[in-house]
Amino acid sequence: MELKEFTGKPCKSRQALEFIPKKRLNLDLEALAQKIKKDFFIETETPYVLIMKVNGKSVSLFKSGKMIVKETTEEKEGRAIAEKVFGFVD
Amino acid sequence: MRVVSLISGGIDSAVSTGLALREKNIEVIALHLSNYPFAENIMEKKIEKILLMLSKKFNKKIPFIVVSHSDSLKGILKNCSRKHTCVLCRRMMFREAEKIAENEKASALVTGESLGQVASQTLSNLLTTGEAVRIPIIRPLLGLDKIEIERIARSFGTFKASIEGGNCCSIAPEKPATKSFAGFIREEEKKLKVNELINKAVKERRKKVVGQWS
Repeated sequence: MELKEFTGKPCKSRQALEFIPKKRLNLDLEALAQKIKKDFFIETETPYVLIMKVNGKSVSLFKSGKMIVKETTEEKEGRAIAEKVFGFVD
Repeated sequence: MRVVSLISGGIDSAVSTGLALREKNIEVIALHLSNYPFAENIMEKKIEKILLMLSKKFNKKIPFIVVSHSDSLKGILKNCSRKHTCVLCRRMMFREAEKIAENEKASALVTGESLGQVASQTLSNLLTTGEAVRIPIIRPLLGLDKIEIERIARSFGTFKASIEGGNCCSIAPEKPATKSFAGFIREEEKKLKVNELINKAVKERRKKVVGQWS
């Protein structure tokens, strides 16, 4: 999927950026984890959220397609990270 | 009397902890059940800041224990009914807290639960979560509304620190159950290694003392 299919904005209550799909998704996170684990360190894997490290930042990807890129409010950096991960989503 | 007060980093549990500390004859041990990496790793620092404020306000030192709850939560997410994640999670938290209370020779738990505030705090879910443990649970905020709780938080000086960045859980279900039945929940818990998870979490606890006192 491409980043243009998501809306990105800074989180209100924390140092993070949030990306929400324009159309709600129902991701198979277990299958996705298999695909991306060569490229990213997966910290936690559950059917509802994948928590991984991408470019040294903590990223949470939810079943609904929502993604939170933590530890940054730099839009450029956040978008680059999100683009990398969404590249694995069909 | 010694109590273990559960503290998440939010507004309510800072107030319930403060109310317990305000009582002269109550010795309070603060306990944070950490959901990291399902929550942010700044929560512990945030809670220390809140406890320091409460310590100054009530002139008491506060032993502070941190237990990692994330393995329990991971087990629940992988194996159990999604709608009941919060009820199952809180039951495991109470069990971990009860074990800490036993170790610390405390005779009750204190929580920041307020009736009807969120899905896990309906009367039905409070009953189901509470029945997981034998230790008494004191809920000083039970009948207060959010406005009243915030007013007390401001008077304790913890309000601002409580609303600053940091979320104690990112994985609550979109449609949580507001009604639960202990029989069903106990069946769901058979899918978990309850004792193993609790013992491991409690064994790996960390403890420090926070505060200024004279």
